[in-house]
Amino acid sequence: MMPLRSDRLAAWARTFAVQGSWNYSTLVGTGIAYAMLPLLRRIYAGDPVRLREAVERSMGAFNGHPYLCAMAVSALGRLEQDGTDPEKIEKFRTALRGPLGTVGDRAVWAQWRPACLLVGILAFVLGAGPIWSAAIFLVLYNAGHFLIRTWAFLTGWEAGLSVGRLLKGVWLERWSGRLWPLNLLLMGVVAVLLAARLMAGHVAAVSSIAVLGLGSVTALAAFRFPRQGGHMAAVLLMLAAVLWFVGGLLG
Amino acid sequence: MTLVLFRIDERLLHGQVIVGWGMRLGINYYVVVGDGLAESDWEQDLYSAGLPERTTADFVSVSQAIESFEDLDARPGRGALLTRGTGEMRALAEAGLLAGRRINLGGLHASEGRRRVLTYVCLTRTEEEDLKVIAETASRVTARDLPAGREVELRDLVDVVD
Repeated sequence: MMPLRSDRLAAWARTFAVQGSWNYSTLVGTGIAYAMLPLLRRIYAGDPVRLREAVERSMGAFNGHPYLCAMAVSALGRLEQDGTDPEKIEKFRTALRGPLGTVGDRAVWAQWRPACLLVGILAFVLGAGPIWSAAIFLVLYNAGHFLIRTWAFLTGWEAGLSVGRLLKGVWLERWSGRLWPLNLLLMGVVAVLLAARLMAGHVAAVSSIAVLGLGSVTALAAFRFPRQGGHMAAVLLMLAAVLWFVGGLLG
Repeated sequence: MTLVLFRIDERLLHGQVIVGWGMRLGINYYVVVGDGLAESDWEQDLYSAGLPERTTADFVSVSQAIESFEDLDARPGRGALLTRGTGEMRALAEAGLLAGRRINLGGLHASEGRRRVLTYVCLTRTEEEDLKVIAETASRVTARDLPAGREVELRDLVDVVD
């Protein structure tokens, strides 16, 4: 039987717990099966033997970005619904592991999260209180998170076997390419604003803590953008230090 | 001689290969050798979906790889040849194509009939034999998951299995 909208909603909701039983042998495999269960129960309604088989094959090793795992859940569910040969499902599962990891890592961990973090820091530097700054980060970051998770789930269900074609050059990849200069820009603005603040205040102890903070932010960013980003970050950090030094001399 | 990495890894194109080895060695083209995969468009789409920009992947059968090995090995840039198992690499070795090359054993994970020799390498008797045949012509066969990882010589792996 075709899963109902409520079954798909339940499966989507369960993807939030996909890492709940993370382990070294199947990674998020069990989590994938847990999230697929509402779909499988409907597809194999009244056939406990086939349901059991489907759950067992859904529990095999799987890895991927936790948000994009929603795509694996719905696409694998779609394959079960279409009555795809279990051997083909296994091949699909194996092949899907790679791109869901790399695409998600590049887009979310390497671009979206640092961008949101920098916006939060910027808000703090500009005078928003710590609670507001943290709230801005959390709301912004999770808006993107929900969007990616939901899109991944809907796309997986629609595309089934052909999600690979959709993943190539997907908006997520294009957007993460565009986020990279934004990240650098934000980092530069934060660095300069921090330096300006340091020049304005004349308390040496506070300054050194802030410089340490600035250094950490930059180092973290350099770690995230291993190539050009690292160089840019180093230049920005030096610029901030020079500004701070000059400010100290002038002040 | 632009193929700089020959790797046996059942996960084929995945993060460890693309980021770990690919970025370290400056790989800009991958050649994936395997009969089933060479004919499956949707699988090829999936495997190549995670490739970085300006990086290509070609999926060829074992016989195509043997026929066009010279061309594959003379492309501009730096390439990596990947096989899912030891059998495909053995076929290339038996065709005399791996002379003087170093073969990297990257990931053969636990499954029925395989015995664990390293955390990321489990071998059957057949796979062990394949590796010995490869080692007869290749300059070296070693296991190493990532460029920074410890390199383990084949004889140490095989000794453990024996």
